[in-house]
Amino acid sequence: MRCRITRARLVAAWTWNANDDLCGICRLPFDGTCNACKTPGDDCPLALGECRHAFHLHCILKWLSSETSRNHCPLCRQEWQFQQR
Amino acid sequence: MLRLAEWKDAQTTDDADKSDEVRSTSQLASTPPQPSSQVAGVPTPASLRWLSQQRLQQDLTELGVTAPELELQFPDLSDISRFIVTLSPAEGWYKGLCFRFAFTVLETYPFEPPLVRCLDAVWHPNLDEHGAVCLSILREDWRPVYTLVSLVQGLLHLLLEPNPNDALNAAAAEMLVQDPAAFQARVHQQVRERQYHFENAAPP
Ligand SMILES: [Zn+2]
Ligand SMILES: [Zn+2]
Ligand SMILES: [Zn+2]
Repeated sequence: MRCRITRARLVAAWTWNANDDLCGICRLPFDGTCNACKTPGDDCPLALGECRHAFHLHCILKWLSSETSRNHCPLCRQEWQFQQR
Repeated sequence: MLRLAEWKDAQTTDDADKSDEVRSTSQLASTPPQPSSQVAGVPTPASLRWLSQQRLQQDLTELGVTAPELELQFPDLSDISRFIVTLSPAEGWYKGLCFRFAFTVLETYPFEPPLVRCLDAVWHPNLDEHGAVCLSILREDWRPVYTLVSLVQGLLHLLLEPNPNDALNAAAAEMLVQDPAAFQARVHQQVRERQYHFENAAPP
């Protein structure tokens, strides 16, 4: 198989975060758990940022604890602040 | 285990058109180790390995769906974290050339980007002769919402539109800006050399 990818394909596929029902980090549904957990619900809550982007709490905590994150939201790169209710 | 089983079922039913390489690898790949206890926020080596393997399998599936014609090779079929992607831009300075990129996906994926080297060194502002690749999303601009598809697109973009403002090979960058004709001539010369190289190349 020889690959010939055209520029059109390149442009067309930049839609990776279009699905709002999936956590952008582990790419699993919000109504289930992150992939470190087994029980959905209170044990694996969602986290909402001031920027309105949501992730599994465990997923965003792992990201924020990595050096690469520089405390930025993975989606919009604004500084991540947990939304206070 | 459930999610992995579901994933494999989805493989065989939904993705009949998917590339053989990816499918056969998903069947051969060893089951990722599952964390032995519930993990609440604190990453452990076991949970990170589990996370990275699962995300990687999702990414490989997506790559197979998005670009089923993409050439993907796994030197060791029991290890899906190491593979080689071959890209061939259909236009631009490097039209017709084949570039093999070796990916190593770390256990910290997707919190750290994969390591990527180009196995086919070429005259390019953002590649050096040792195969280092200068692409910001492979370094400081990496985010865990990027996927293998994002990276393949980024690499392809680098081949289609070299970026002289973020140069690894300063001489190539300068030539691209100052004398595009000489730049293209140098690449064309490499195309001729490359064909010779490919005919005689050992498999990776
Ligand atoms: Zn998640
Ligand atoms: Zn969780
Ligand atoms: Zn955000």
